Amino acid sequence: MFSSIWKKIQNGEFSPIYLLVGTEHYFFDETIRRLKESLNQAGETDVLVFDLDEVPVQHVIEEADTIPFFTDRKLIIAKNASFLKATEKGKEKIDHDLKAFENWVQHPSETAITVFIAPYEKLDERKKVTKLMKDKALLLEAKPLEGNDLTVWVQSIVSKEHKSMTADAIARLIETVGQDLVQLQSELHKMATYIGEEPEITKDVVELLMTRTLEQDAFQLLNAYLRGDTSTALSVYHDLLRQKEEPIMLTALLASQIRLMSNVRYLQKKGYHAQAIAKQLKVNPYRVKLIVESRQQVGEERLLEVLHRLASADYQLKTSSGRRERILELFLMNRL
Amino acid sequence: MAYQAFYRVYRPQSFAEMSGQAHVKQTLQNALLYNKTTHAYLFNGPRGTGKTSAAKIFAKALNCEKAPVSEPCNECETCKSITNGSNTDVIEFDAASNSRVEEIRDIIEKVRFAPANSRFKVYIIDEVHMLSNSAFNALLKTLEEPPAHVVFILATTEPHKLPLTIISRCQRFDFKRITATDIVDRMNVVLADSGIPSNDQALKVIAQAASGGMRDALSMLDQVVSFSGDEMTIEDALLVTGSIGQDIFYQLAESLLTKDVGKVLTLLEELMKEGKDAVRLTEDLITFFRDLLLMNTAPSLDELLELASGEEKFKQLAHQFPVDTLYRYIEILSATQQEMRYSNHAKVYLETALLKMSQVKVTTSQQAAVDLGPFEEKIAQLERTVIALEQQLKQGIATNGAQTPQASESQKRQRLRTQTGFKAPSGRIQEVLKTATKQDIQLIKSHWPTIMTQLQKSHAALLNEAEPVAASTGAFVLKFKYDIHCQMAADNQTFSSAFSQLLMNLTGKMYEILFVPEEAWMKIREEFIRNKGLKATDTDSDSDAASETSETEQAADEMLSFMQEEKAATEDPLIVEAEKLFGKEFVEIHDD
Repeated sequence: MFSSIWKKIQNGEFSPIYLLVGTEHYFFDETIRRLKESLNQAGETDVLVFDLDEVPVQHVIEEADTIPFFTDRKLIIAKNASFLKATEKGKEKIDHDLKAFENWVQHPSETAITVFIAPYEKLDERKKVTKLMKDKALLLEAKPLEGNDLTVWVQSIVSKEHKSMTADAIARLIETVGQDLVQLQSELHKMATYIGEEPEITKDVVELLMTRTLEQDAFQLLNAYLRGDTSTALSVYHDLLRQKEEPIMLTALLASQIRLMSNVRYLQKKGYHAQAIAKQLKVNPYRVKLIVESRQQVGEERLLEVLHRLASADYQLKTSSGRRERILELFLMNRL
Repeated sequence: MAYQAFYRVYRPQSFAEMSGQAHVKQTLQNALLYNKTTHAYLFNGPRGTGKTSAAKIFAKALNCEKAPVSEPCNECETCKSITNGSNTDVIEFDAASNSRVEEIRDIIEKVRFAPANSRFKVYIIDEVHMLSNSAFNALLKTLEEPPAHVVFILATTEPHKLPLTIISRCQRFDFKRITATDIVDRMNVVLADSGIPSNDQALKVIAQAASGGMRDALSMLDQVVSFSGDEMTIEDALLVTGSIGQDIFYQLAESLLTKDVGKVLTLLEELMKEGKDAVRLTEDLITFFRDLLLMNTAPSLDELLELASGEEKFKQLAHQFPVDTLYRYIEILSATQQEMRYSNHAKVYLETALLKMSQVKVTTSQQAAVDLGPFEEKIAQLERTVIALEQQLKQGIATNGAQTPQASESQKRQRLRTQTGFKAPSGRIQEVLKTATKQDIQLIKSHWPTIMTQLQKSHAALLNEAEPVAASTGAFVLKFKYDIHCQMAADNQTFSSAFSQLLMNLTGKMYEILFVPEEAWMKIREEFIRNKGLKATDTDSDSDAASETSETEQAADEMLSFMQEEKAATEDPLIVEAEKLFGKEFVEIHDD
């Protein structure tokens, strides 16, 4: 979707209004960059940036309707178009004149290219203004890339730097950095700079240069623990502590997950399907699916054992003085 | 000139002077050479690892008059002015003391202006995590669309406090801890430069205590040098770095290992004399043993160690303690910690705790391996005995059955057919048949479905093709369709016990269970009926035993009629259950 629209932009075919929706900032940046580049071919263009969290949309309309001084067109970027998404009560600080905006969208200015950026996962489709925008503007959905698309994308970035990258290096990079394209791009740029004249980014380079992001996931902690990978479990635990997570809360979270696992195992033994289990236990089917499909099947007795230990850790947390984060730490060190 | 601390005098002025961080240096130098710098950098890492130094060197190299270069020349005017902080285009900003929006706005407003006399405007923002939320937002706006002539370098020890939006706009570098050897090398350079004789042992102690921070190392070196005068000694180094505590803990653990109680208490006394608080000391001891535990369980996580350093001797010590013992120690200590709260004599508690700890059996893994030998032998011996006993038991049953000649005959025939087939205890069965009553079998049959559902799955499966056929008050006969199932059921000890336990719960009687395969059962039954018939004619003539025989006769008659009935009725437990529920007269059986 993006490549075809980018190509059009490159060829000078513009749409008067663009609407970018999604969470992947990389696509916003790239689209704007391309627009600027293409417009600049005809000469220096005016670029105006508005933050709709701070100024009402009327200003944008006004600006768009003003004829540019030296160039044919000007580029207007309106960020945070929050009026397109579901309203959060009490959060609307700016008074957008949506009536005027709707009128304007029907007849946008010829001399301006206006880009609205809505960095949200979802828009409120019921709103009149949203429907109108979707109809009149050129909609681009900036969804995060996944799986193979991500690998292909990494490869394309690497080849732009005139380098190559091994498959395991890519996998390692995505595993640690995540799916944020902006961040991936900057990591790749850094690695390409590091190797200098060398042609290939290897796994070693990735290991050396990548920045370990803080693990926010208590499930990662639990999985590492069940796997017997004490080192990972402990470092994730300390990451969580650094983010001011409460040991008591973590204990409860771990316990609830263990309980769910044990329930799922039991129903599985009775011959239930993942769907049926989710229904029976009244939990999100995705959670059940993860447990059913997990590679390491932990025995029921072990689960109960862990649950028991968590219970005593919980008791200690609530009764003993001393350093509280130590108790869960000791639990994690005590391998099954 | 006033005295300047080592770490200020010997702040590195070029990449080459910087210790460690090879990956950062190479990347930055390549970026400088190939003109591939970006607009925002984030340097994060523990204190004293060279973040600010790297930022300053990078700023100089960027703006050096001889650029593009991979090292600043430190000779041109620009370099010099940056070094002494008078360059207006390199703005150092301490976010810790200027965390408000107004302050950051002040400098960001000037971002638009072109640099006065260099190529780039470089903003070095130290301790960037201290900025307030709105200050971050203000900064983010600029980071998103920076003018071409600006480079931001953010430095922080706590990157997790930065908003993700900021982090993702920066090229991020992790500064790692500097290795002890690198620190020692650098200290040697410093000492040689200031003309002070060095002492390798002392330097090692300092490097260890600095745990990867160069600034810490240099300021400690400063202290040691001024403390010791002409010659620095290892004692001075230990004193200044405060490594003494660590050492006492080490000795304490060692004495615990050797069970030298006297030494343990002396060491405690020593610590107390130093003015340590017993409660605090308990906490420290917990931490120390936790560190040992950590070395045992997750050796790669050196940075999580708190009291013990990752030195080799600690690692060795840690490996001498089995994990369980360490847990036990921590348990004792934390229990003690609890008790201390309610007492004024905290020291006594700590002493008792240490005594308790010295009582804990320390079985290192090696010892355990040695001890295992005789145990294994014993287990094997026991196993042999058990097997022998089991065999004896089986033979006992067999000889029991062989008491009646008919049975042994049938057994022989059976043996001819199936060599490994199951030997039915026909003698016992005959006995049961003699005293069998209808009520008993009904009772068992009525409970049959419940039994099937309550038994373990594997056990219930065994009974799928089995049914109770006859029962007396103390025993009942269970008929199996196939030999193999019968055999399996008879051999399975847990099954028989679980089964009779269940029966007892349901009926309130303890039954002996006799297993029999179908074929054998048919024969035994035939024989029994024939005998009964003979006996009945016998007893007619013999009036002496009339009362007794009439009783058995009755039983036999009952048995016979019951057997016929049984043949007619389907032996479906469902029907039995239905009959039990509704009464016999209401149950009609349609078989189709």
